[in-house]
Amino acid sequence: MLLSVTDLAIDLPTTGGPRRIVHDVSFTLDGGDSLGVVGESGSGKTMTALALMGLLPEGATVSGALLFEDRDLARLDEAEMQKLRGDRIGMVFQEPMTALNPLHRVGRQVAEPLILHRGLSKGAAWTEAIKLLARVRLRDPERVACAYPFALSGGERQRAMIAMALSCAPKLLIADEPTTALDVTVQARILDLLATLGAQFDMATLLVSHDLAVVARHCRRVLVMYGGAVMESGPAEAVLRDARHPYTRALLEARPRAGAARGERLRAIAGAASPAGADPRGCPFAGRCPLTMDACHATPLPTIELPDDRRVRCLRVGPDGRLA
Amino acid sequence: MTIPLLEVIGLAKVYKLPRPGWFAPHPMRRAVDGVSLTIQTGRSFGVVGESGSGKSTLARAVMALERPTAGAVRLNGRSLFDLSSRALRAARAEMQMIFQDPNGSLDPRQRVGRIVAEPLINLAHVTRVQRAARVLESLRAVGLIASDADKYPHEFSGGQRQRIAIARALVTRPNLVVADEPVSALDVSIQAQVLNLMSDLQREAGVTFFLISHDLAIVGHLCDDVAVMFRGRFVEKAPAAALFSAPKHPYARELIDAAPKLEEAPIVAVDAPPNDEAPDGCAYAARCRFAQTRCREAAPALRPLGDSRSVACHFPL
Repeated sequence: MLLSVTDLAIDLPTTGGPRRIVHDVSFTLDGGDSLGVVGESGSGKTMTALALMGLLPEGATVSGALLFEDRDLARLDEAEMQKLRGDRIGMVFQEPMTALNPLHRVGRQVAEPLILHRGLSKGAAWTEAIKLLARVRLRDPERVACAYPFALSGGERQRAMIAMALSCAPKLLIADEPTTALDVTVQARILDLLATLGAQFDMATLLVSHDLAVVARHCRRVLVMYGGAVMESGPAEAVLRDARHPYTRALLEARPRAGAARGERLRAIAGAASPAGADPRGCPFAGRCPLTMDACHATPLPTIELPDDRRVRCLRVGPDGRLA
Repeated sequence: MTIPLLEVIGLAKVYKLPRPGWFAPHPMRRAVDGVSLTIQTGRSFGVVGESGSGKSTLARAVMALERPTAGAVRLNGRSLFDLSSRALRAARAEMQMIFQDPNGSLDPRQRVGRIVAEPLINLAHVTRVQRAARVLESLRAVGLIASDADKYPHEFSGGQRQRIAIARALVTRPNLVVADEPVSALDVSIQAQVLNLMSDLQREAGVTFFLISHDLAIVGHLCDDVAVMFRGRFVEKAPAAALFSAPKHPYARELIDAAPKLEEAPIVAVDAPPNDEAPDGCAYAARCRFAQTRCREAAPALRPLGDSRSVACHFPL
């Protein structure tokens, strides 16, 4: 097992004392496997990813175990974490324009981890960077290497970011909304590219996305988060075909479908997500959920284990895995 | 025949790019290249395209935020670019715009009431008292309450902020609302609320949308007619249902196939689009699975196919 997260909780300091924004998140990821973390804003999906990268905001505290290659990421200090980041753990963020340094040529930025972690000379790293840019199927990699980020298109920038993340052949790639800023045709290509590279490099992928369909297409397993807690997890195909948690169902039904009649009512989820960690005692979806009972507000979330390594966390789900 | 709500005729916008050398001529980029469309009241029109296809430039030209290089925009029969700036300001009351990012388009230091009232400030005939009433009416139309007018944008969630932006667009009681990616920044559950609100406004407030989006499902949800834009041109224009069920242009097909769907297995896209422009031929030829010699020699014009659809392809699907 490459990564094993057990009872992850994250507290952020606020003026009113620490606030638990992620609570009891547990999952595992095997080498070369892919896991999609799906959730809306405030679900804690990005915080979970940041915790794995050791990039949580100042003052945040992490509890639980984050075992990566048998080392607990939560116990590493910043210097040790820096050695892992960009080396064993690659990262791709949503907005390549802000993640890339606008003042440096793309090639230099792709070469940087190689100089830092592999001790390559500038020249050798540059040559390697051009190879990596070709690897992410950028046309004319020499031109891209010499270009500044602003001169590239969004898709080209994201490819360059991926080249940078892959430079040291990481075992785990954490991609936080890697294609959200991109066009659908480009998105399809980038996600296919990530899948291909994952297989080539034997690299596990943790894909954080708000888009269920993206995850359904590109991840083997899926973890649905809401309000800082895991609602449901399991093989992507099974979870999306036969969702057991009311939240997953609601998410699936809220999407407009291509080809549906114009103005067809969407099953919107009433209300807005309460800020994460408002009340970690009960279910965070209680209140918005059409099946809310009184107990939902105050009872800690149960975990119902189902065959195929599926888990559902809902009071309304019976031991057989069916919604009662 | 009735005067169309919006008519765009042969619109082109050419940007000068920086010169590659000291004495070299400026290369030109045709962001929008001869686009024509007609929107009748009550028939919302959607433009789908990738970034760089010119769809936002088109929206900005329609809003007269940008002067096109050629072509005309007529709102209710009046040519926007022939109006004096004062007359243009008044004409803006008839069309309003919603932007993608509600955080960027709402001034964080102003109260919601003031933000929503802003488009009215330029309208001389609306008095202060009427203004307050209009703001209230507008907030109610988007499902907010009167006391929300005294709050600041940060006190609202993302979906509510986009409602505020919509309320601001509605306050002049416009016929046409130009919406550039109105729900792209919102969560799926909130997106559904805003889309439902937008269809209610179509039905109940008689708003016609000119919707710009990269998301086919959203355009299909709200629009009667859809145009697919590629490198500044419409490659296909058709009633939404016809376009989605049987696209005639290979690029429209590619877009529909590339959209992530829950129901179907993925279709792997053609890889790495070249960025070099084909000077004579079809701009899509290099990416097109069906391209033939003729496609590289002559650019196809948008021609009618019957059933009120048209396609710019030598060999429609």
